[in-house]
Amino acid sequence: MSSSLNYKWPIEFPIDVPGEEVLPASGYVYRLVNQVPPRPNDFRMHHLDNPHFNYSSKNRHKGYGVSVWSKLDSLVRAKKRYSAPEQFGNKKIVGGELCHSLGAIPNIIANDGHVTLWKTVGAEPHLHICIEELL
Amino acid sequence: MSIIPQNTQLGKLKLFEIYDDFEGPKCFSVKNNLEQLFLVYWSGDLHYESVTTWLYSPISHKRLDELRRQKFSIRDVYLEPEQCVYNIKIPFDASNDSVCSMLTSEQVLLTNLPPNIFYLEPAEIEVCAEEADWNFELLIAKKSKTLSSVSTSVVTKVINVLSAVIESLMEDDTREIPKLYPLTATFGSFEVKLGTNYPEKSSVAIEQLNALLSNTTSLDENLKNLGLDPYKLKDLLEIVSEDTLELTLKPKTYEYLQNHISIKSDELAPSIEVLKKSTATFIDSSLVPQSSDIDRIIDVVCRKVNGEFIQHDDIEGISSIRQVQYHTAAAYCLGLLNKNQSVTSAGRFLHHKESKNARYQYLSERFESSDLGWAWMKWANVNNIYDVQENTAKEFIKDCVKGLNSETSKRRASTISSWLRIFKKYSRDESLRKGN
Repeated sequence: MSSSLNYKWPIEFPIDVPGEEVLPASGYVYRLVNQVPPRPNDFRMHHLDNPHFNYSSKNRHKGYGVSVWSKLDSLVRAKKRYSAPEQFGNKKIVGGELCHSLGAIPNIIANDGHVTLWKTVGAEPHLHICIEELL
Repeated sequence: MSIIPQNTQLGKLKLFEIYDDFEGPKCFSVKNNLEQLFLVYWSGDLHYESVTTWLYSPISHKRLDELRRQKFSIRDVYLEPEQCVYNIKIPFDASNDSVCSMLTSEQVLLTNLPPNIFYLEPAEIEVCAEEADWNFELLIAKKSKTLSSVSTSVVTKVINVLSAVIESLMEDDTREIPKLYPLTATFGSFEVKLGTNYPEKSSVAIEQLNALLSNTTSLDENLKNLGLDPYKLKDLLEIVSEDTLELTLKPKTYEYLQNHISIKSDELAPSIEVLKKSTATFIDSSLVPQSSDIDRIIDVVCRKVNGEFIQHDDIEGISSIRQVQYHTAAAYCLGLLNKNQSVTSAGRFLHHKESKNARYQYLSERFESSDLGWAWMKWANVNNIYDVQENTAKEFIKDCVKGLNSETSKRRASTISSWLRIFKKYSRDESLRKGN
């Protein structure tokens, strides 16, 4: 389906990323960020910050996306499981509505609520996903 | 960055299972080239050192099994390690080597440990290594430690018969073939890891087996409701009883099956007595043939005896591999081939017979003593297969054969009805009556 979406993808994307099983981004999602309001650096693709991360072949395309979550519980739990400042302790949770202009997401959302957002060139998700969730 | 350290004293590590994946695995297990397992927890990134830090603790299979069953938290593994805890620093830049240092118990307390509330969640476990892909653990033990050890033949029998019982309980009218199979066995003991292609169905089947054995008074009725062949269950219980065994079946996690089940030799006598008198009759769909062409079945067996590799275009009237399989399955029903398609002595004996008449007469006898023939006789309440009416095939299959949809039932009924009609003509009794 992605071929019909007419997005301009970053040059880092291999030819088969994000793939065919995607839809224009939509839905309310959350993300862990370093500050509120978030900055562009809070929405970097996973691959850029982890260039040596060994993705399994089935997850390789996800490395070119940004992880956001449709379930707030998943982030709250991650903050509890890794609560030290060196882990996720100092991170903030922000939420917001995805829109088509930001890029594409998988057409099937995982049970745990994980959503990969493949940002189109020029997308500014930090301006959309920016409302702090105070726990 | 890599999540697994390179060039440390822990050896060459590979992912075993992932327990928590949040923007990459954060809690998981790894196995080294000496088969040693480690539990791993992400303790954070130190940006001023440009490293990510992990807590590694060697863990036995037994303890990891208990961790999956939520007997204790992940934190407990580090606070009470079986051996020790290592702090691993992996540089952000993969070109540098990782640093591994063993921590004292005081140092462990100063690290970023997992919180008390962090237990492994069965639904989130992602299996990475082939040998981690098991579902149940079967422990076969002698009831008394003073008795001699369990023989290999008993272990094989228990696994075969238990699998047959569970698979039979897992059957439904879909085309899927449920399987329970041994994956790994621990050397020196009889703890066998079993895998299955349907974890949820097999858990239900194991619960059903447990329920069957815990209510002897309704055993016969419950067998009928579940469609389980009493002989299969009797086989299992007799092995356990005769060899004074205790079988314990534990799930990998309590996601589907809430408890483990035990089958103890000294508790089985009442169930075995009920099973001996059981009136329930059920047979596996694999023992009901799909091919009515007896000549072709003979042809397939004779080709096998001659060592031929059978392909569908070698046999007249057969156009697909699937049809070849129908004929080999039919030969298996008559005991002419084994399940792995090797020829049995009965198959060789058939090949040895020279005339068509002699071969048909021999198959007629095989049919009467086959599982199918015996079940049909028992169902019809007669002492001779030739007193069974061919037109009862449909009803017999509906009552006694599990795991067939209505279309397949019809085809199989037509096949066995046709077999019975043919074999009646060749029975010795019939020949004697005619004075041949």
